[in-house]
Amino acid sequence: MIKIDRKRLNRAVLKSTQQITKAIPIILGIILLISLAIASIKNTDYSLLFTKNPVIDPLIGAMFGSIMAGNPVTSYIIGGELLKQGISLMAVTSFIVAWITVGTLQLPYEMMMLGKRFAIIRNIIAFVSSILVAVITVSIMVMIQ
Amino acid sequence: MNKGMIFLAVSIILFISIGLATGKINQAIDKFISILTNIVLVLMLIWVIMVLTDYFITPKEMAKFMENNKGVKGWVIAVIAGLVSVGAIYLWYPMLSKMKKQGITNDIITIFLYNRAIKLQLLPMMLYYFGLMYTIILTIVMIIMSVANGIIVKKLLDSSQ
Repeated sequence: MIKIDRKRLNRAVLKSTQQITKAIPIILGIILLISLAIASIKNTDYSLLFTKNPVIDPLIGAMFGSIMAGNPVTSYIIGGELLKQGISLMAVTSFIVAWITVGTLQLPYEMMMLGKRFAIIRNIIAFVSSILVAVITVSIMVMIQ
Repeated sequence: MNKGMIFLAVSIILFISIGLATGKINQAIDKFISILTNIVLVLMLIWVIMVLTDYFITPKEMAKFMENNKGVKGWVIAVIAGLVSVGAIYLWYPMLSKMKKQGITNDIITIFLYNRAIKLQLLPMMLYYFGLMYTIILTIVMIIMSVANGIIVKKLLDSSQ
């Protein structure tokens, strides 16, 4: 049986509540922006951004994925649609990976909570990585098949 | 007015002005309510985890734990924690901020955040769209890349201090 230290528990509840309360305005702001983006952009609109150039498209995919946010499932659905419309797998992969690893919309929040330098460097590295992940993944796919 | 409230005020202004200009305000409100409803439980879960973390792990204990789990062991823990964690990424920032103050290093936070992107519960959806081979390869490449990201971010931050 665990003996509960009431004083320690009260302190933990108070500290955690203060931190969550501090985060709520930012969380609400992010959800507002994400809702607006999801409502304003149709899945089929995304294909207009790509050139079908194998070198430029992964970069466009990563750039576009970086500024988008939302559930990863949405990126899978859009990625699937883009593939059907002839966009390269490399571009689609960089788009999906950037979508889920780079957080431009939540960057101000990340900067506030984890530090400006950390947030900027982490997001830049994640952006570059999204292209590298796409190149490596598709290269392995080609080698295997 | 603090930074959070300023950000919320700017977001509300953008939401209303762009929503009205594009005629998508009603869909955006519906989406907002839908997302909010979904994350309330996740937020409560995160609050409980934060309370438990605070109760059971003091900063001193956390610093000691991180000290004992640096390097490869720390990376493995961060990968697993990132993979199994739930909820949107931004919901975890308050907890990560607290852990950073308690001594967790930048490579661990980066690896955790990167692996948050790989959602085991969403893999069936990826399988449906892209197939088994693609899903396996992408997942493995992303896990390896998360460690590379952690090492690079830490090195860049350490070298600039």
